[in-house]
Amino acid sequence: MALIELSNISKIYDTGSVTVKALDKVTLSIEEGEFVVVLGPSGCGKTTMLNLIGALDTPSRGTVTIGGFDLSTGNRSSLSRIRRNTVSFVFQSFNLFPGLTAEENVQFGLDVSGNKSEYTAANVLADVGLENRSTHFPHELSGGEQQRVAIARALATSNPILLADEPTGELDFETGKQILKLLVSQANMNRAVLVVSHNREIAQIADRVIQLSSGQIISDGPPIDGKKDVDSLRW
Amino acid sequence: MSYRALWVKWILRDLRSRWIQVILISFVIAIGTGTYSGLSSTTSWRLKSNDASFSKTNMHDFKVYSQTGNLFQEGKIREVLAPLVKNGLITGIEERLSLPTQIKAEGINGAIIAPGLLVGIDKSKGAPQIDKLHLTEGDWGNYDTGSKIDYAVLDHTFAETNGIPNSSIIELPGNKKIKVSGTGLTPQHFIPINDSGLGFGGVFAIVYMPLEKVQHIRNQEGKTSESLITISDPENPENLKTELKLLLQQSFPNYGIGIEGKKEDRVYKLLYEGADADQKFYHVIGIAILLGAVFAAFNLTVRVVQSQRREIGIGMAMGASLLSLAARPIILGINISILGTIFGIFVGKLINGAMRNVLIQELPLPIWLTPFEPKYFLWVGIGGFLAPIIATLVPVIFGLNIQPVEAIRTGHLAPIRKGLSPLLSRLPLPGNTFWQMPFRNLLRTPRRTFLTMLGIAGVIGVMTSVLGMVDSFTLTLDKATSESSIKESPRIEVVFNSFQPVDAAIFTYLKDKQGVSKIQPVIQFAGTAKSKDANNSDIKINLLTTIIDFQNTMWTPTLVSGKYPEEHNEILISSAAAKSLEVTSGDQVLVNHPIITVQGSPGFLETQFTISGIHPHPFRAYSYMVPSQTKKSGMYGLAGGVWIQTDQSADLDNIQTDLYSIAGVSSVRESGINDRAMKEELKGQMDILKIVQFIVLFLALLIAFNTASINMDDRAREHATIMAFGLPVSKIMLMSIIESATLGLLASIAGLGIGFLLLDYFINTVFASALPEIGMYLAVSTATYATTIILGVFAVGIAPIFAIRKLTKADIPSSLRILE
Repeated sequence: MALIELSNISKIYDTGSVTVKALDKVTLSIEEGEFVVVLGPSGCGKTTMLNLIGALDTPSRGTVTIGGFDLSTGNRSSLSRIRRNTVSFVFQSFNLFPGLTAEENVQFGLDVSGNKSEYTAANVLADVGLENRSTHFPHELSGGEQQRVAIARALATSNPILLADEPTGELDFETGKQILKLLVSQANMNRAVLVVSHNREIAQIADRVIQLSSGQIISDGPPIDGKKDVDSLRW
Repeated sequence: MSYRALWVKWILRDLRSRWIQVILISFVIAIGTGTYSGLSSTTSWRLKSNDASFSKTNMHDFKVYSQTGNLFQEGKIREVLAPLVKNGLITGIEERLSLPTQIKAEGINGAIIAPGLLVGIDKSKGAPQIDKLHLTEGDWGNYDTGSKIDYAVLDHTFAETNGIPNSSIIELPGNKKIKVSGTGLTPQHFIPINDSGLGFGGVFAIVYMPLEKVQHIRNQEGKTSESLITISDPENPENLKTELKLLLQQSFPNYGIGIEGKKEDRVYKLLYEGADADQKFYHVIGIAILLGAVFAAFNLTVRVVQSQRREIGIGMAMGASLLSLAARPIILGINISILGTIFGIFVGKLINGAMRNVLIQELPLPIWLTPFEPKYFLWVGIGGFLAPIIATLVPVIFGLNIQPVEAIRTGHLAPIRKGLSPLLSRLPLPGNTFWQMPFRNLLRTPRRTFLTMLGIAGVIGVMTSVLGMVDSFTLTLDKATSESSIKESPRIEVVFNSFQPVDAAIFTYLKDKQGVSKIQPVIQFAGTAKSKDANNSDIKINLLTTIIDFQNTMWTPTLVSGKYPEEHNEILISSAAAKSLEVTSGDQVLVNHPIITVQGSPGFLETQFTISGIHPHPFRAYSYMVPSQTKKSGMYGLAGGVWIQTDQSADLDNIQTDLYSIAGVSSVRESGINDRAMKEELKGQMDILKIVQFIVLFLALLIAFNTASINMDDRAREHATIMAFGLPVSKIMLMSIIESATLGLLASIAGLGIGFLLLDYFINTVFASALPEIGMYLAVSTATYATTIILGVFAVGIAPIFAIRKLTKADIPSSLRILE
């Protein structure tokens, strides 16, 4: 069984007067170690899909199975457990805790997942190249540094699925490349990495590119021009 | 849609999304303004009601009496003062016979034997014209039926407190049975007061009867004890007072003529000074609550408006006018102001209602005027109205004074924090990140934490002071009880109608009486004392001096300093008296005390005494001298009463009843009677404190809830991130509770400090002037410390639970995308 399985899922937002179909009968599966980029214009349902996989939201129809667990059968507590031990998030706007230092934010990832490995927050922070910024608070870090802390926090959980919502959206080109390298390295470590972006360039470094339009998958496969290295990207 | 319509719609949306916060912040203000105006109104009510009550009952302008206790022949004073009546300076004279007594009655809780005053009133004109009797129930009794029953009007407070019904039978000494025909009040006894100067509501009985009946019952035919006088120019009584004194002293040279003006009357003073003390007390309580509430409302409003900071920036970037940008938050503030004002009037009226009930219950004046007092609401209402508007203006002005780009920036580009924040943020904390986060949140915004803490601390401070007052009252009562009581069995104090030789038959009779184990003859008299130090010589206090043998085995006062008196010119005074006179052991005081001259006539003498020691009884008037002093005052070998200690197995009620029927006995009472009176006196204060206690607790909860609710909004994104990482709502709630409880703990500690300062002011300044005869002990019990800390921590700590709905209903994906 695949690590992530979406079976015929639909997500409908009913605002009273208007009904919006964010996802429409989407079916897909993602294996361990896959680096998947979900592409599509704004409003096509990319983030909704990410939220469903991350157990932050529930589908209107269909089933989402994560690590063999059908999320539709889960209660509040079991969904929390999935988020704690199976998926990790990297947000476009970082969402770091302003009251915690860089290292403490990463430590939070360790604490929350109950990760007892000898790998410390300082080690994880060093992995993202921020060992000299460990005592800095988020507001004392640049955007790229903040995003790297956010990734380190997600990595600290050691969860098998890494979900990243526009991780380079707020970053300059060079910083964006650093972040992408980090994400690629996670897939190489057998994590399933799912990156949502509207940036077509990013798709070139993926193992697999899923294109969404109006809530439906219009294509699913390797990059058209073949997989490239991060350093070859230009945007 | 027009530009203006858009803004109106936007403003309405703001209000709709924040209506709970708007209402709750309005309530915080309303409690502050309402409490202040509600409490402050009582002073005005008391003054108005005092004026109306004294006017309605036509209170005397002067009272003429004998300081030595001599009785006057009826009509004699009238005769002496006839020229002044004739020339119109005096408009009325009425004579009375007021004598100490004891009454026995059946109350709602069984038989009562209480000391009191039997007052004979001149009814020659059908009813008294001066110091009129205000009947609260019944009438003077029907004497026309030829019935041999005598009627009396009983003091309203005594009848009400003890549940003595109209038409019941009461008994005076000598088995004299009298029917209660009504209940009422006269101005000299609106608050029944005994020799110790305390208001004795439920334990001191005033019995009003026609003058001739009292003269007959007490075998004082044709005698009066005082004359009440009204004059034509009550505003300028001093000249006439001097003239009266000269005239009366010539006619009654051995009487020690006393002329007491209306404003010197103890009840009159107590009622007006009480209103003045109330004003100080309520003013401080009201101000403290008001400041706490307004401060909290200000703080809460600032926080609500700060959340619009980025929107203001965006508006500025898009070129919106400053006025339109400021309009949204200001209208939010105005809404809070308007609702706060309206709610404040309701809260004020509610508190008025509660205070009205307590006052009418505790001070039964003939007339109570308790209108809503807009003037007390006006100023605080304006303050309460302006606070939220200013609170909205502050962040708006700051918001408008920065570059739009700064206001828009979020995350890593947001303005750098200044002040203590960077320093406190780096404080090393133990534990994992979950448990650090609540403290980090408090530390990274020190100003906000401090201001929120201060608002709650102010309210907790008031609560601490209120609880401390209850503690102080309790300690004072305990001191009084432990000082008065004898461990083995109660002491009965018997007072005679007149001095008896210590070898009189009555002492042998009492000593041999069944159930009596010991007796101790005593002399007790009232006097005054002032410091010999010229700097303090204008401070004069009442004394109730007991002459006892300090070698007696029945009871002696305890010492807090010095020693018992040994010489005739030594006196033991209370610590309250020492404090009032600013003296200590070894200092000199001048005591004005009664004497019996060699000719046998009574008089007063000022003698210098050395303070041998100080005792702890809270009654300031209690003082003690040795029997050898009586040689100097002409009372040697005499006793005005006797203390009786009973066997442990003796039936106290029976002994009291037996003693009561002995001829010559004026009163029989348990030694703790004054302590019970003090309890009654303090009960009224405690009732008011309970109202205040309820208000402050509610206010603390409201502030805490508002703070927690705003915190939840502020932290929505943080909480969503935590949830995205899989932490359950319960753990986030726990973290919020820890944060709030820590804030509560800090506020409680600060509140205890504020509370102690307030308490010190109330006890040593306000109560010292309101209840001068009671030396209040200041106390804050461990229970109060614990209650304050627990309530502060608990009430503030649990506040986030009330906002749990926000967490459980949180839309995590949406919250995660919030940029602010």
